[in-house]
Amino acid sequence: MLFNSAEFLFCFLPLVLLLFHLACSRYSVAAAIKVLVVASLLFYGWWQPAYLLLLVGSILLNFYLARLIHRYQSKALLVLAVALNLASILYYKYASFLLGNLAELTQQPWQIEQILLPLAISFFTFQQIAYLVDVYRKGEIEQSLMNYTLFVSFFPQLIAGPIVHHGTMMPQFADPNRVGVRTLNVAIGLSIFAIGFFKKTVLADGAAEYANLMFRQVDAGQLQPDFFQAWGGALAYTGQLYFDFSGYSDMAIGLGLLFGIALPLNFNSPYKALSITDFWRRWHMTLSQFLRDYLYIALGGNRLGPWRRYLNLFLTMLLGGLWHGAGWNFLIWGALHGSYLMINHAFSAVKHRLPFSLPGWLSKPLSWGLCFVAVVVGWVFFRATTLDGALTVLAGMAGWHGISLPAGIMAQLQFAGPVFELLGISSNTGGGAVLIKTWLWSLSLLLLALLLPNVHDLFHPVLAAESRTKLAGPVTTGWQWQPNKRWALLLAAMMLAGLSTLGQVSEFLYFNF
Amino acid sequence: MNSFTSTSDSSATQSRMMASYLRYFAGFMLLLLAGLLASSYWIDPYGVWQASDSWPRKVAAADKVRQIKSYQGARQDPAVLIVGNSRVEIGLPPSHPFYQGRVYNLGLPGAGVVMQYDYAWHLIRSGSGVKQLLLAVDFVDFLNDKPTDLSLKGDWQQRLDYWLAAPDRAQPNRWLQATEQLSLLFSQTALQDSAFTLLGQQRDLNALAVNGFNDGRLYHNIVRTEGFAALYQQKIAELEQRLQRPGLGFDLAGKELLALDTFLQLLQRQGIAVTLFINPYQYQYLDLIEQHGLQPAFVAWKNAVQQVAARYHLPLYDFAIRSEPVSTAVTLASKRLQDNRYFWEPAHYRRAFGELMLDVWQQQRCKLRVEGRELTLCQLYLPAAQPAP
Repeated sequence: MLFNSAEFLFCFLPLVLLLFHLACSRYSVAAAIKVLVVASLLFYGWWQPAYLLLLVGSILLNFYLARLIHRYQSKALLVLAVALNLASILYYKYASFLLGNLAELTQQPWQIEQILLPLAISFFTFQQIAYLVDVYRKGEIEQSLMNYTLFVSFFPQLIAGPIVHHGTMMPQFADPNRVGVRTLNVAIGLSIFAIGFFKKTVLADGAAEYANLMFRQVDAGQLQPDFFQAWGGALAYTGQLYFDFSGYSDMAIGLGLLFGIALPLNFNSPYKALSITDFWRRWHMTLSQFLRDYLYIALGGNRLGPWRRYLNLFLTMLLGGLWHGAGWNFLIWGALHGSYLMINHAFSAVKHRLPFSLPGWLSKPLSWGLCFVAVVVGWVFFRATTLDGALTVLAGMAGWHGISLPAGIMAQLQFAGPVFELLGISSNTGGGAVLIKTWLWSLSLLLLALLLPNVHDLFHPVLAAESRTKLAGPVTTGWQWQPNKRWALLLAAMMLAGLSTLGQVSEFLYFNF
Repeated sequence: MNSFTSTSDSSATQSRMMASYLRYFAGFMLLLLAGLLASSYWIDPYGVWQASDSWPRKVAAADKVRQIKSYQGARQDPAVLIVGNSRVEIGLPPSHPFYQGRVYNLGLPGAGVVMQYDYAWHLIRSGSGVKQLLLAVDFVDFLNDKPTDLSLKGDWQQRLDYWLAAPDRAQPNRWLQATEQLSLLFSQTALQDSAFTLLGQQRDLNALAVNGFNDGRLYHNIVRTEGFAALYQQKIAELEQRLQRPGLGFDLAGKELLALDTFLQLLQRQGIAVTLFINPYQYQYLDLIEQHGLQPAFVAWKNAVQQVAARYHLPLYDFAIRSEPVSTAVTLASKRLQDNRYFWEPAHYRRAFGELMLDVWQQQRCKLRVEGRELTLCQLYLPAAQPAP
């Protein structure tokens, strides 16, 4: 079930909210938690009932293994538990990829049937690994199976995050003053949901058409995009991915609040970043935190000298890339970002020793441009389904397939003929309307991402501590949400715009990971 | 104010504020929804509701005809129905004495014959009385590069009550039809298209009228900016690609001919007067058919259509001959609309040619006086299967 579907918005959510409220007001918080658990499992099972067993099995196994780890303080048990989790994800997500590559390497005819990837397996597995590690490290343990089940399966964040930490969720479930339907939370939650809904359904899906068009043709070997086509498609995807995923995260935060549960922020205007380090503090923040706390630090972090630090950074991002999907393009994407981070840190280390420094008015746009282009290049690997496809798009972006404009546009811009000639811009028989729309969407989304405030900026004063994060930094805008008529009108319009897209079917991009 | 840490003193005030905010939110939603529904209904970007004549050019509708025309046609409840593909949709004029009543152009760009006839049959059975039907057939719609099964099933049938495969049994999918019509009233696309309709009344874009005719003004724009050459270049490349498919040919036992036969049988049963004709192709198109070795198939197809027509005692007007308007050399470099009077490009004739075709049917003869000269515009096959002189 998708958040942007009629069955979710008009049947599932109102019904669950009603039952939850009844359980909470007439019975107890524990009863309300049970309602949420049943609803969450139903939400997950709606997609593929068979994999509900996998989710429930994983929850039960980890819950009881955690108790054993807690009781015996056994590292061996921890290793076994983590290995079991990894084995499950390895089988479902990576077996086909690994065996395929091994077969190619050894020239053996090995193959396995394509396994249907269980929805959200990466999210719920890693959330539970973090829990197991903390049970061992910090001695924290959850006694209630219901609360633990809800921590793993809470439907607003189950499918595509934000990745939640048991330390922020369990206390909320146990607090009768938190769990419940309250006017204040409903007002804030509905407002945040409306923003996310608009971002996903209007902005991301609007750009998707143009990103998909180019990448599908390239991946199928039917197109060698020229400069404008390649950049247009790559920028459309850059906008689509951000508004899709951050829209989903906002919707999750809003939905959580309807039940009185605060989820952490996941995005803080990442395309405003001036460096790649800054970018990773703003993009998919809960994953960055997870990778830092449970991978980078586990690898030694920065405790073993600068070179090991760089290596650890690289490995962390490489595995982060692999977390997103079993494919060479994801590995390359991870390796690229690992390299970016190494270069960024190395430059920061030597920057103060340089004999010159650029003034802020010059260094800031330069830094932003460099960082943004690096991110867009990374997204090309992230989006293309084949390595050839990604390289073809990058070649197009570099101008290797020429620079041309549709003849219709050239005819309208005849006055600029000498400039076109000077720049070597030729004409082609492609559709001018598609190119114009692609660029209009791409540039509009980029401007929106750069100029408008995000949920953190807008709702900072009214968000719970669990939703705020140190990483988000200070608020950078004067725009603040207020419970007044103007905001009600604006957000009602955004909600309605989102509802007007319900006839179209579109999945969230991060459902794939 | 904090969603979780507010003090009890302020919580009552906050609750009141938030409750008021939520009321406004819900109220604005309803108000905006009502406003949008009303504007979509009034502007009517797809010409389905027909509540006002203020914006007659439906510029957003021209590329959504398959979704629109079953509903639009039903609302028009025509006496005269034009059936075919984009050639009739753009090429035939909306008014002519030959039309015996309210006319609706059911030309469906890119549609195969089964789909064309399904839509037509749905309108005939759902309406109060189609009396006259102009039926265009096109050689390329009958070509296949692989053997086809004889099933007349298609996924478009869900939006129709009746179709050829089960002609007398109404099988409406009311849910799909209702949601589809709702999406024509309230959807992101409908909202955008309403704005587009307001802004695009004067623009050179293809626009559909409520009677299903497409004014083809995108051609005006392209001719003015790029010249006829651009249109010819693009269409010839497209036709080359289409006609060079390996194994392409006409199958006498294919489902297209079966569909034509079935359709004509049903029309005869309904007592509808049918004008059957072969769309004109310009000489470049005819040359391409020859160059790709399809001339024998073209001849065989014409014979087959002629035989089907004869079975139902119908004359067949064949405009796909090398008549003078078809064979006149094209001024490719021209950017003037008045040049190349009869064709936009090799496959699509202009309304001037459509006028001549209607004159032919009205006078029931292929020879007409055009600008003081006697021209033979078509080959008329009479039901006795004898070519007319």
